[in-house]
Amino acid sequence: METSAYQKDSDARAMDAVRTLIIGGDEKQIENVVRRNAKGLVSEVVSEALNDRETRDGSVNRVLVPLVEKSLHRSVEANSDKIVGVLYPLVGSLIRKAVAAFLVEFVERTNALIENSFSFRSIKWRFEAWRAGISYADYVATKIYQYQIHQVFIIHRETGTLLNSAASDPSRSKDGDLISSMLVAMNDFVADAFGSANPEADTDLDEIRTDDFTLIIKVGPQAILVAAVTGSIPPDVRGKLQVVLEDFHRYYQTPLLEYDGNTEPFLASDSLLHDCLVSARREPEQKKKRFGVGAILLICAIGFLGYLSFFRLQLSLLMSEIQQASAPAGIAVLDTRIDKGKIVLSLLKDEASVSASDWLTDLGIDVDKVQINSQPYLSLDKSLIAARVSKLVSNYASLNLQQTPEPVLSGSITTQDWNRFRRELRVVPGIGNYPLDTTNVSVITDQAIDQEKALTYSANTLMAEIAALSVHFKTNEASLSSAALSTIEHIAERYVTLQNISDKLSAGLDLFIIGVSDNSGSAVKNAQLSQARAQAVKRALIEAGVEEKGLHTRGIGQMQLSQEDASRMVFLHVLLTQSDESKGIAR
Amino acid sequence: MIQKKVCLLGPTGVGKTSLVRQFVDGIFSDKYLTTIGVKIDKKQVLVEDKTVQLLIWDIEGVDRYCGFNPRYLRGASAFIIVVDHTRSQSLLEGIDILQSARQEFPDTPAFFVINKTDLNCEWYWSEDEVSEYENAFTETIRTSAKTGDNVEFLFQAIAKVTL
Repeated sequence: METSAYQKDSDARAMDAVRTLIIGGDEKQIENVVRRNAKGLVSEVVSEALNDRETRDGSVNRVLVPLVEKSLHRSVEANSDKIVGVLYPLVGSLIRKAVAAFLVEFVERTNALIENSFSFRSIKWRFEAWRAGISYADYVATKIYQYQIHQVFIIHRETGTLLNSAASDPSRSKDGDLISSMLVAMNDFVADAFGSANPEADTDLDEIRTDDFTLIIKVGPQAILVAAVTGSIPPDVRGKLQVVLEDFHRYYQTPLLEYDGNTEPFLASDSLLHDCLVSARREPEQKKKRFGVGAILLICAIGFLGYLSFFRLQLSLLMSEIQQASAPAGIAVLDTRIDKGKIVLSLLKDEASVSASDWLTDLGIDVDKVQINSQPYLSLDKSLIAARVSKLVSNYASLNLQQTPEPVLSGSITTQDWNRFRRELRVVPGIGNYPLDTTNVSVITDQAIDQEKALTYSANTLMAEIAALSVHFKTNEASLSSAALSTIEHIAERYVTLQNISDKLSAGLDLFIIGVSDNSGSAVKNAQLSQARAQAVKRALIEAGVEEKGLHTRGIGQMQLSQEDASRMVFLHVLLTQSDESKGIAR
Repeated sequence: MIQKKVCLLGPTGVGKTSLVRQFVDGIFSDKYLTTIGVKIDKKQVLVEDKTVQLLIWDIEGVDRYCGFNPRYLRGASAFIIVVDHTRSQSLLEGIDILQSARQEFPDTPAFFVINKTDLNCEWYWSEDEVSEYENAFTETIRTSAKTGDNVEFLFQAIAKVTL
């Protein structure tokens, strides 16, 4: 062991002796060799070495920054003209943008101030600004701006590819890839079409406005920030976007410079972009306003409904009054209803009756509130028949009509006028039910009339009177009412006289008693009913003293007359036949 | 995801828009609608397990009266110069366009696309002459936007080169 250790020590000394012989005792030889190749060796590793050291303890920056600053200072002093020439376009562009941003903010604030300076609201806002301890301009800005940033895109400026995006509502976000490319294309187009002659000075889009939203575009050296905004954007939000773009450049400087289409390095910028998704909606104030408007509308609606209800109630009371009132003769109320703020009164009216307006006025009802739909009809009311006869009589000055207790006509009249009067009297509607006593009328004959003519004339007159009379019945009845019996008495009286005259004239006398019914019921039933009515009248005539000879009954069943009530009746037809001649006088 | 900007250039009426439509939508229409400005479409292509999204800038046709806006080519990963082999002039125009683009973007890969191969070749250029021109391009591909022939292949090749 000792021998071995000694041997090693001896070898080491021998090696030192050889090394000294080859490279010299102070290693000058090696130093000379290294110095000769130093430039090449250091240039091989300088970048990596600096990077490693900077990563390890950050000392490279600490050493280099003072050196660079010192060098830059010397360089600026020595070459100020050159540096100013290089920086001028950059600084000029930055200053222009800063001034433009300031002007936009200034103009918008000024506009807002002008719009809100001369109103009650401005006074209120000034007071509130004073209470809040902020300037009036700032307070106005916070009150009037209402906006939302819906989506933000960060776009690589050169390629137009989307680096990242953020949306307030991801389900409604747009296709960012195509939007980004198109925006860059539009920017290129604008720069090409409207740019200055200097190719270095880009003309960039700043804002794109549509009816729905605004695209605010902030252009940086490597990236473009685009915000899709609705509403009116306050200037400080624009400033915030600019700050975010600058931050993005600062944080992602290296990935931006080395960008090759891979967007992964920018995924971490989500939080930065989400900071841009700000909004100001002033919802509470809006809700209050909405409530105020809603309350006013509700009150108006309730008031209007109340008025309508009151008006409707008033009309209902009036309508009830009309329904309960008994209509005057000749007016038959068919229907009353309320429509379009008026009472609609449908009625039948006889020409001889009082007007519907007068009737309503008598009831104390405002005629303006009533719409009258009147249809004409003929009333068989006795008072109206009396009025019609009275009107007719008034045309003959020599005749006098007394209505009570029974209508009696008196006075003297020529034969011609008398005939005319009787013709006119026959066509008065309802005259069959109006027993006018004419026995007190003295007819003045102008010429001598022989006996036969006188008899014939009387016969004609009586036949006309009988023909004008008819006996009326109730529905589905063949029994005679007291009015019908009264009419039959008149008929019997005249027919007995006629029988006497026919005897004197030796003429045949026949009375056709014709029964008629209305349309209700079957045709067979109506035929039987009409026959029964004719038979009833015949029996009554016989009882009233008429000879049965020459009385003929016939039921002709249902008949559609213009006045439906009139069809339930028996009418009479007298036939006077001269025995020696074939001529007949019929009525 | 990797995104690449690709610019389509060429004389008017050579079928640039039809190529994009065939590639993106798989549709061809005989109706001719001239492109104004630029139209942008996108489609994802799978290259060696990587998804590449091509953003295809279909730039309006270039003619003697209307050049193209070189700004549109900024940041492009590849150009496609399209010509029509039924029109001799389109080859010369295509070469001019390439030279214009090369002035500002000398290193961007450029693909030479001879379109409308479904129609008979009607230009008088010999294969040798065409081959000479082809040397200026990264690759030459003959396509038909109508039949879809080589269209998918073209964009696959471009995606591959841009990676």
